[in-house]
Amino acid sequence: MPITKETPLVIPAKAEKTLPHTWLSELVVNAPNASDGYMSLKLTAFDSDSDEDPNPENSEMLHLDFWEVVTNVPEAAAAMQSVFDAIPAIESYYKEGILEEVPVEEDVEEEAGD
Amino acid sequence: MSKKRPVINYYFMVCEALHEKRTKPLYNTVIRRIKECGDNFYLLGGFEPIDELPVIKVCDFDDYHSCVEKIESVFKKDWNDADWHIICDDDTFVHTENLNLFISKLSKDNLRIYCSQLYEDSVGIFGGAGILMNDKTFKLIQKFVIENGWKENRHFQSHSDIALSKICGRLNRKLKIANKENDKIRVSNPKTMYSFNHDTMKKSQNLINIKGDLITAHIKDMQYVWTDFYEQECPYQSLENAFCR
Repeated sequence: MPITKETPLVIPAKAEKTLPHTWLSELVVNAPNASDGYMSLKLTAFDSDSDEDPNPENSEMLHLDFWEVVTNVPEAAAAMQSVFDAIPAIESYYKEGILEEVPVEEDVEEEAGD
Repeated sequence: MSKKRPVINYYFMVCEALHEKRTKPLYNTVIRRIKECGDNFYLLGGFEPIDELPVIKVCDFDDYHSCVEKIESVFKKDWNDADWHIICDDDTFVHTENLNLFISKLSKDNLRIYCSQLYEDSVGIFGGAGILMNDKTFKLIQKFVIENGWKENRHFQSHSDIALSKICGRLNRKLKIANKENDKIRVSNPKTMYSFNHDTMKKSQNLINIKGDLITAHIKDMQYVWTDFYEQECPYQSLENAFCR
Protein backbone atom coordinates (compact mmCIF):
# COMPACT_ATOMS: atom_id res chain seq x y z
CA MET A 1 0.00 0.00 0.00
CA PRO A 2 1.52 3.37 -0.96
CA ILE A 3 2.51 5.60 1.94
CA THR A 4 2.73 9.26 1.12
CA LYS A 5 6.19 10.68 1.82
CA GLU A 6 6.41 13.93 3.70
CA THR A 7 9.17 15.05 1.41
CA PRO A 8 8.95 13.45 -2.03
CA LEU A 9 12.15 12.23 -3.61
CA VAL A 10 12.79 14.20 -6.76
CA ILE A 11 15.04 12.71 -9.44
CA PRO A 12 16.29 15.52 -11.69
CA ALA A 13 15.63 15.07 -15.38
CA LYS A 14 18.80 14.23 -17.27
CA ALA A 15 19.74 16.28 -20.29
CA GLU A 16 19.65 14.36 -23.55
CA LYS A 17 23.07 13.43 -24.85
CA THR A 18 24.27 12.50 -28.30
CA LEU A 19 27.29 10.19 -28.41
CA PRO A 20 28.54 10.21 -32.00
CA HIS A 21 31.82 8.31 -31.50
CA THR A 22 33.04 4.88 -30.47
CA TRP A 23 35.85 4.24 -28.01
CA LEU A 24 37.50 0.82 -28.20
CA SER A 25 37.81 0.19 -24.48
CA GLU A 26 38.83 -3.46 -24.66
CA LEU A 27 40.35 -5.67 -27.32
CA VAL A 28 41.10 -9.28 -26.44
CA VAL A 29 42.51 -11.86 -28.83
CA ASN A 30 42.98 -15.43 -27.70
CA ALA A 31 44.51 -17.66 -30.37
CA PRO A 32 46.05 -20.85 -28.95
CA ASN A 33 46.72 -22.22 -32.47
CA ALA A 34 46.03 -21.55 -36.18
CA SER A 35 42.49 -22.91 -36.10
CA ASP A 36 41.02 -22.06 -32.70
CA GLY A 37 40.62 -18.64 -31.22
CA TYR A 38 38.27 -15.92 -30.20
CA MET A 39 38.27 -12.19 -30.07
CA SER A 40 36.16 -9.84 -28.06
CA LEU A 41 35.76 -6.11 -28.38
CA LYS A 42 34.18 -3.67 -25.98
CA LEU A 43 32.87 -0.68 -27.90
CA THR A 44 31.81 2.30 -25.85
CA ALA A 45 29.78 5.13 -27.30
CA PHE A 46 31.16 8.55 -26.37
CA ASP A 47 31.56 12.14 -27.49
CA SER A 48 35.18 12.99 -28.30
CA ASP A 49 34.36 16.72 -28.15
CA SER A 50 33.30 16.40 -24.53
CA ASP A 51 35.64 16.29 -21.50
CA GLU A 52 33.82 13.24 -20.15
CA ASP A 53 35.48 9.84 -20.22
CA PRO A 54 33.64 7.08 -22.09
CA ASN A 55 31.01 5.65 -19.75
CA PRO A 56 31.15 1.82 -19.51
CA GLU A 57 27.36 1.81 -19.18
CA ASN A 58 27.20 2.77 -22.84
CA SER A 59 29.23 -0.24 -23.97
CA GLU A 60 28.50 -3.10 -26.28
CA MET A 61 30.49 -6.37 -26.22
CA LEU A 62 31.25 -8.20 -29.48
CA HIS A 63 32.35 -11.86 -29.17
CA LEU A 64 33.69 -13.38 -32.38
CA ASP A 65 35.59 -16.35 -33.76
CA PHE A 66 39.05 -14.89 -34.32
CA TRP A 67 40.16 -16.87 -37.40
CA GLU A 68 36.76 -16.51 -39.01
CA VAL A 69 37.10 -12.73 -38.72
CA VAL A 70 40.64 -12.79 -40.15
CA THR A 71 39.47 -14.93 -43.10
CA ASN A 72 36.35 -12.95 -43.92
CA VAL A 73 37.20 -9.35 -43.06
CA PRO A 74 40.16 -8.11 -45.16
CA GLU A 75 40.57 -5.01 -42.95
CA ALA A 76 40.86 -7.26 -39.88
CA ALA A 77 43.45 -9.46 -41.63
CA ALA A 78 45.52 -6.37 -42.53
CA ALA A 79 45.21 -4.99 -39.00
CA MET A 80 46.36 -8.28 -37.47
CA GLN A 81 49.32 -8.41 -39.86
CA SER A 82 50.31 -4.94 -38.62
CA VAL A 83 50.12 -6.20 -35.04
CA PHE A 84 52.34 -9.19 -35.88
CA ASP A 85 54.83 -6.87 -37.62
CA ALA A 86 54.99 -4.67 -34.52
CA ILE A 87 55.68 -7.55 -32.09
CA PRO A 88 59.54 -7.47 -32.25
CA ALA A 89 59.58 -3.73 -31.58
CA ILE A 90 57.08 -4.09 -28.72
CA GLU A 91 59.12 -6.96 -27.29
CA SER A 92 62.32 -4.87 -27.39
CA TYR A 93 60.54 -1.96 -25.76
CA TYR A 94 59.28 -4.26 -23.00
CA LYS A 95 62.73 -5.74 -22.39
CA GLU A 96 64.30 -2.30 -22.09
CA GLY A 97 62.15 -1.77 -19.01
CA ILE A 98 63.08 -5.01 -17.27
CA LEU A 99 65.29 -4.34 -14.30
CA GLU A 100 68.66 -5.99 -14.35
CA GLU A 101 70.19 -7.60 -11.29
CA VAL A 102 73.79 -6.94 -10.34
CA PRO A 103 75.71 -8.18 -7.31
CA VAL A 104 76.07 -5.91 -4.32
CA GLU A 105 79.25 -3.93 -4.94
CA GLU A 106 82.41 -4.81 -3.09
CA ASP A 107 83.43 -2.49 -0.32
CA VAL A 108 83.95 0.91 -2.00
CA GLU A 109 87.20 2.70 -1.47
CA GLU A 110 87.17 5.03 1.50
CA GLU A 111 87.05 8.65 0.47
CA ALA A 112 89.88 10.70 1.86
CA GLY A 113 88.68 12.69 4.86
CA ASP A 114 89.20 16.41 4.77
CA MET B 1 88.89 15.33 10.65
CA SER B 2 86.59 12.28 10.69
CA LYS B 3 84.21 11.57 7.84
CA LYS B 4 80.61 12.70 8.36
CA ARG B 5 78.19 9.83 8.94
CA PRO B 6 75.64 9.48 6.11
CA VAL B 7 72.10 10.56 6.98
CA ILE B 8 69.28 8.11 6.26
CA ASN B 9 65.64 8.99 5.63
CA TYR B 10 63.27 6.19 6.67
CA TYR B 11 59.78 6.18 5.12
CA PHE B 12 57.32 3.81 6.82
CA MET B 13 53.96 3.17 5.17
CA VAL B 14 51.46 2.75 7.99
CA CYS B 15 47.69 2.40 8.46
CA GLU B 16 45.27 3.19 11.25
CA ALA B 17 43.88 -0.37 11.45
CA LEU B 18 47.30 -1.73 12.49
CA HIS B 19 48.36 1.28 14.54
CA GLU B 20 48.39 -0.56 17.88
CA LYS B 21 49.63 -3.89 16.58
CA ARG B 22 52.39 -2.69 14.29
CA THR B 23 53.10 1.03 14.22
CA LYS B 24 53.40 1.50 17.99
CA PRO B 25 55.79 -1.44 18.52
CA LEU B 26 57.74 -0.22 15.48
CA TYR B 27 57.92 3.25 17.03
CA ASN B 28 59.12 1.87 20.37
CA THR B 29 61.86 -0.29 18.88
CA VAL B 30 63.17 0.49 15.41
CA ILE B 31 62.24 4.18 15.37
CA ARG B 32 63.68 4.69 18.84
CA ARG B 33 67.04 3.55 17.45
CA ILE B 34 66.61 5.68 14.31
CA LYS B 35 66.14 8.73 16.53
CA GLU B 36 69.21 7.82 18.58
CA CYS B 37 71.23 7.73 15.35
CA GLY B 38 69.98 11.22 14.44
CA ASP B 39 68.34 10.04 11.21
CA ASN B 40 64.96 11.14 9.87
CA PHE B 41 61.81 9.03 9.89
CA TYR B 42 58.40 9.58 8.33
CA LEU B 43 55.22 7.66 9.12
CA LEU B 44 53.11 7.90 5.99
CA GLY B 45 49.44 7.14 6.55
CA GLY B 46 46.03 7.82 5.12
CA PHE B 47 44.83 9.31 8.42
CA GLU B 48 45.53 12.23 10.74
CA PRO B 49 47.63 11.58 13.89
CA ILE B 50 45.61 9.90 16.65
CA ASP B 51 48.23 10.00 19.40
CA GLU B 52 51.80 11.18 19.97
CA LEU B 53 53.09 9.28 16.91
CA PRO B 54 53.81 11.85 14.18
CA VAL B 55 51.83 10.25 11.35
CA ILE B 56 51.75 12.34 8.17
CA LYS B 57 48.51 12.03 6.19
CA VAL B 58 49.68 11.66 2.60
CA CYS B 59 46.53 10.30 0.91
CA ASP B 60 42.79 9.95 1.41
CA PHE B 61 42.65 6.15 1.52
CA ASP B 62 44.11 3.92 4.22
CA ASP B 63 43.35 0.40 2.92
CA TYR B 64 45.87 -2.10 1.50
CA HIS B 65 45.74 -0.55 -1.98
CA SER B 66 46.67 2.83 -0.51
CA CYS B 67 50.29 1.65 -0.32
CA VAL B 68 50.51 2.67 -4.00
CA GLU B 69 49.48 6.22 -3.06
CA LYS B 70 51.73 6.19 -0.01
CA ILE B 71 54.84 5.23 -1.99
CA GLU B 72 53.91 7.86 -4.59
CA SER B 73 54.06 10.48 -1.83
CA VAL B 74 57.64 9.45 -1.04
CA PHE B 75 58.70 10.81 -4.43
CA LYS B 76 56.37 13.79 -4.53
CA LYS B 77 56.78 15.46 -1.16
CA ASP B 78 59.69 17.45 0.23
CA TRP B 79 61.71 15.72 2.92
CA ASN B 80 64.87 16.56 4.80
CA ASP B 81 68.05 16.09 2.80
CA ALA B 82 69.61 12.67 3.20
CA ASP B 83 72.40 10.55 1.73
CA TRP B 84 70.32 7.36 1.75
CA HIS B 85 66.62 6.56 1.64
CA ILE B 86 64.81 3.39 2.71
CA ILE B 87 61.12 2.76 2.10
CA CYS B 88 59.60 0.30 4.58
CA ASP B 89 56.25 -1.26 5.46
CA ASP B 90 54.92 -1.14 8.99
CA ASP B 91 56.13 -4.74 9.41
CA THR B 92 59.69 -4.15 8.26
CA PHE B 93 62.26 -4.67 10.97
CA VAL B 94 65.43 -2.61 10.52
CA HIS B 95 68.68 -3.30 12.33
CA THR B 96 69.92 0.29 12.22
CA GLU B 97 73.49 -0.48 13.22
CA ASN B 98 73.90 -3.17 10.54
CA LEU B 99 72.19 -0.93 7.98
CA ASN B 100 74.65 1.86 8.73
CA LEU B 101 77.54 -0.57 8.41
CA PHE B 102 76.16 -1.93 5.12
CA ILE B 103 75.68 1.56 3.70
CA SER B 104 79.22 2.56 4.59
CA LYS B 105 80.45 -0.06 2.10
CA LEU B 106 78.25 1.06 -0.78
CA SER B 107 78.78 3.56 -3.55
CA LYS B 108 76.86 6.83 -3.46
CA ASP B 109 77.25 7.18 -7.23
CA ASN B 110 75.58 3.99 -8.49
CA LEU B 111 72.02 4.01 -9.73
CA ARG B 112 70.95 1.09 -7.63
CA ILE B 113 68.10 -0.27 -5.57
CA TYR B 114 68.82 -2.75 -2.79
CA CYS B 115 66.02 -5.05 -1.68
CA SER B 116 65.25 -8.68 -0.95
CA GLN B 117 64.82 -11.25 -3.72
CA LEU B 118 61.35 -12.73 -3.41
CA TYR B 119 61.40 -15.10 -6.37
CA GLU B 120 64.41 -17.03 -7.55
CA ASP B 121 65.40 -16.15 -11.13
CA SER B 122 63.16 -13.12 -11.05
CA VAL B 123 64.43 -9.57 -10.93
CA GLY B 124 62.28 -6.85 -9.50
CA ILE B 125 61.81 -4.54 -6.58
CA PHE B 126 60.36 -6.36 -3.56
CA GLY B 127 59.52 -4.27 -0.57
CA GLY B 128 58.83 -6.50 2.45
CA ALA B 129 62.33 -6.06 3.82
CA GLY B 130 62.62 -2.44 2.72
CA ILE B 131 63.73 -0.69 -0.46
CA LEU B 132 67.07 1.04 -0.06
CA MET B 133 68.66 3.54 -2.44
CA ASN B 134 71.28 6.27 -2.40
CA ASP B 135 70.31 9.92 -2.84
CA LYS B 136 71.38 9.96 -6.50
CA THR B 137 68.91 7.16 -7.33
CA PHE B 138 66.20 8.73 -5.18
CA LYS B 139 66.55 12.14 -6.82
CA LEU B 140 66.51 10.62 -10.32
CA ILE B 141 63.24 8.78 -9.63
CA GLN B 142 61.81 11.88 -7.93
CA LYS B 143 62.65 14.06 -10.95
CA PHE B 144 61.14 11.49 -13.32
CA VAL B 145 57.93 11.25 -11.28
CA ILE B 146 57.56 15.03 -11.05
CA GLU B 147 58.13 15.48 -14.80
CA ASN B 148 56.12 12.49 -16.04
CA GLY B 149 53.57 11.81 -13.33
CA TRP B 150 53.23 8.67 -11.22
CA LYS B 151 50.84 6.86 -13.62
CA GLU B 152 50.21 3.98 -11.21
CA ASN B 153 46.93 3.81 -9.38
CA ARG B 154 44.81 1.54 -7.21
CA HIS B 155 42.62 0.43 -10.11
CA PHE B 156 45.48 -1.26 -11.93
CA GLN B 157 48.03 -1.92 -9.22
CA SER B 158 47.74 -2.95 -5.58
CA HIS B 159 51.42 -3.43 -4.69
CA SER B 160 53.65 -0.46 -3.95
CA ASP B 161 56.88 -2.31 -4.79
CA ILE B 162 55.63 -3.47 -8.20
CA ALA B 163 54.42 0.08 -8.89
CA LEU B 164 57.95 1.34 -8.17
CA SER B 165 59.40 -1.43 -10.39
CA LYS B 166 57.22 -0.21 -13.25
CA ILE B 167 58.24 3.41 -12.68
CA CYS B 168 61.93 2.39 -12.76
CA GLY B 169 61.26 0.37 -15.93
CA ARG B 170 59.77 3.46 -17.60
CA LEU B 171 62.66 5.55 -16.40
CA ASN B 172 65.19 3.05 -17.82
CA ARG B 173 63.38 3.08 -21.18
CA LYS B 174 63.58 6.86 -21.22
CA LEU B 175 67.30 6.77 -20.42
CA LYS B 176 67.80 4.26 -23.24
CA ILE B 177 65.98 6.52 -25.70
CA ALA B 178 68.23 9.37 -24.55
CA ASN B 179 71.27 7.09 -25.11
CA LYS B 180 72.00 7.10 -21.41
CA GLU B 181 71.45 3.41 -20.82
CA ASN B 182 74.71 3.10 -18.90
CA ASP B 183 73.01 5.21 -16.27
CA LYS B 184 70.05 2.90 -15.83
CA ILE B 185 68.76 1.74 -12.46
CA ARG B 186 69.80 -1.77 -11.48
CA VAL B 187 68.75 -4.00 -8.59
CA SER B 188 70.92 -5.74 -6.01
CA ASN B 189 69.69 -8.33 -3.53
CA PRO B 190 71.72 -8.41 -0.31
CA LYS B 191 71.15 -11.83 1.27
CA THR B 192 70.70 -10.30 4.70
CA MET B 193 67.63 -8.27 3.74
CA TYR B 194 65.25 -11.10 4.61
CA SER B 195 61.92 -11.59 2.86
CA PHE B 196 60.43 -14.79 1.46
CA ASN B 197 57.80 -16.03 -0.91
CA HIS B 198 55.19 -17.90 1.12
CA ASP B 199 53.92 -19.81 -1.88
CA THR B 200 57.17 -21.58 -2.60
CA MET B 201 58.62 -22.06 0.85
CA LYS B 202 57.86 -24.83 3.29
CA LYS B 203 56.33 -23.62 6.50
CA SER B 204 58.11 -24.23 9.79
CA GLN B 205 61.26 -25.19 7.97
CA ASN B 206 64.43 -23.66 9.23
CA LEU B 207 65.57 -22.65 5.76
CA ILE B 208 68.26 -20.28 6.75
CA ASN B 209 70.38 -19.51 9.68
CA ILE B 210 69.71 -15.89 10.45
CA LYS B 211 72.79 -14.44 11.98
CA GLY B 212 73.80 -11.21 13.59
CA ASP B 213 74.41 -9.62 10.20
CA LEU B 214 70.66 -9.17 9.57
CA ILE B 215 70.09 -5.77 7.95
CA THR B 216 66.31 -5.85 7.58
CA ALA B 217 63.52 -8.42 7.80
CA HIS B 218 59.93 -8.70 6.71
CA ILE B 219 58.47 -9.58 10.08
CA LYS B 220 55.60 -11.78 8.92
CA ASP B 221 58.07 -14.06 7.14
CA MET B 222 60.23 -14.60 10.19
CA GLN B 223 57.95 -17.13 11.84
CA TYR B 224 58.63 -19.57 9.00
CA VAL B 225 62.39 -19.48 9.14
CA TRP B 226 63.52 -18.23 12.50
CA THR B 227 63.39 -20.92 15.14
CA ASP B 228 63.58 -18.40 17.97
CA PHE B 229 60.43 -16.62 16.85
CA TYR B 230 57.75 -16.62 19.56
CA GLU B 231 54.40 -15.88 18.09
CA GLN B 232 52.88 -14.76 21.37
CA GLU B 233 55.56 -12.16 21.88
CA CYS B 234 55.71 -8.84 20.07
CA PRO B 235 57.81 -9.73 16.99
CA TYR B 236 59.53 -6.32 16.96
CA GLN B 237 60.61 -6.86 20.55
CA SER B 238 61.67 -10.45 19.79
CA LEU B 239 63.90 -9.32 16.95
CA GLU B 240 65.14 -6.39 19.02
CA ASN B 241 66.05 -8.71 21.91
CA ALA B 242 67.69 -11.26 19.64
CA PHE B 243 69.73 -8.99 17.39
CA CYS B 244 70.05 -5.50 18.83
CA ARG B 245 71.14 -5.98 22.43
